Amino acid sequence: MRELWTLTIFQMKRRVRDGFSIGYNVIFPLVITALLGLLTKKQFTQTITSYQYYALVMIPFCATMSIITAAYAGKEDAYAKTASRYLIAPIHEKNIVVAKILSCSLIFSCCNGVTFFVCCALWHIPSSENWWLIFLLLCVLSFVIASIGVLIGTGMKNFLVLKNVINIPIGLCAVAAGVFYPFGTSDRLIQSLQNLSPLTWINRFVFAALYDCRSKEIGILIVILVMVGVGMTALAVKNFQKEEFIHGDLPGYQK
Amino acid sequence: MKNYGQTKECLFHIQNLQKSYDGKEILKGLTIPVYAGDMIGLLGPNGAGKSTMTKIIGGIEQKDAGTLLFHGKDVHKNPREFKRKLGIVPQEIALYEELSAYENIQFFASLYGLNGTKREKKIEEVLRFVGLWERRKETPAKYSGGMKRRLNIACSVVHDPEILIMDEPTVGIDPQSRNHIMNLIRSLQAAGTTVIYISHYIEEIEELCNRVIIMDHGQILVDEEKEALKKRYVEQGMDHLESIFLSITGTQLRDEVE
Repeated sequence: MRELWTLTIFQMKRRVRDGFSIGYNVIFPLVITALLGLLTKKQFTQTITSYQYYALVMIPFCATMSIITAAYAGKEDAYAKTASRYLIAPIHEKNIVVAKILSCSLIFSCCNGVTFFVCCALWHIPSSENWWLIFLLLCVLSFVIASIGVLIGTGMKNFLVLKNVINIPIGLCAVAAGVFYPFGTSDRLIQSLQNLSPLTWINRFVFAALYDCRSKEIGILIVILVMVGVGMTALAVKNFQKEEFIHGDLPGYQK
Repeated sequence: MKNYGQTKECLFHIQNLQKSYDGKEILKGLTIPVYAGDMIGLLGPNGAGKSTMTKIIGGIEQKDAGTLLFHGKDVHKNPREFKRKLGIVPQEIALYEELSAYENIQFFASLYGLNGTKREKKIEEVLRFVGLWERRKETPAKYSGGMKRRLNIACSVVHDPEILIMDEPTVGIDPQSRNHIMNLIRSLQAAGTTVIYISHYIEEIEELCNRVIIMDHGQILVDEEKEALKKRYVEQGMDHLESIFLSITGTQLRDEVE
């Protein structure tokens, strides 16, 4: 347990130092929300302002984009060439993976939480009694994203290709979920495609929880995400490959 | 193979170590007894299997067959206990560039269960040992090549290993730094650490080691006390290890990547 604690604290410090989480999970969503909110101000009603809309869809989207930060966290010891020191040391390999997932989850959760509360304060998002559920949802989402990212970083071949490709499905899910522009349609096919995006469901339930005071759906979503996160963590631990952790497909490395 | 060192305790024993990649045999039943206090120079051209052997000992690679015994016990049964007593100085500089020298050692020490005052004392001791105490707050990014190499060593010996494997610890540094590192290695051995020194700089092995192992194509070709080996070859007009090494392993170029 001490070993896991040591590794987690160290990884958390590294996440804070590298600044990616603060940049992508705090500064970017705030800036983009302010910008899109301003540009589309007249297209929204007083019930939900453009700022509120974009804040609430942008936070889960940016949380999802953290998958790349988490993948890098899985790979950073290969870049620093320190990975071999972990494998030589008397520590369990599973703790290396779990510590990376835990540290990413905690830092992403903090950043997403800060962004959410800043948005609530700046743009008067109705923080009903369900605010804590939204915060919990962001924490659980961070956990899922961290586990998938670390799985990619520590256990998958072709890391560099995967890292670049992963933007495409996330971007498509974001479009389907109305992250860049809200759209409604009566076309069943398009509705079905929209429903395929996990972000669609997250956004729907977030709005339902805050504006309609409905908490049941978001509760179910949290439980599902916890299960996915635990599953992905188990998969990341099982799939940990020493060779990928040390080298992977880093430029210049020849297997 | 000579049978020497019988009076010393066999600290670590590599027995019949085998490893293949894609059907190609990299280690062909390697057997090396390592005695307490030994200072072994391990020589071999590229592709000899030195790095593979080191990776297997460090637990980075899995062996196909063979046994590693530490104090007579199978390492495989309790790898963590063995790893606590093992230090490996990697050939590459394995440091976090954005952390200070102190923080680097602090973290790697904590991986070996060191903490609290004991850890802080050890960090100071080891930083003074490698001559970096005064510059402990600086990051390796600001260090010269020699200083990075010394810090690399410090991170590997902070937990007081009984057996230390050094994989080309003096690559790419100036003669002064090399001299400093050689003195560090002598001090480590004098303090009781058993050292396996891997290097392409044969003159370093000649200067430091009491025993020489020459391997090639995954096999041990020579395992002998240095003076005995030199004495054996001096009659053939070879009085330097380098000429002996070349006569044993040949002069053809080795362009394999290990």
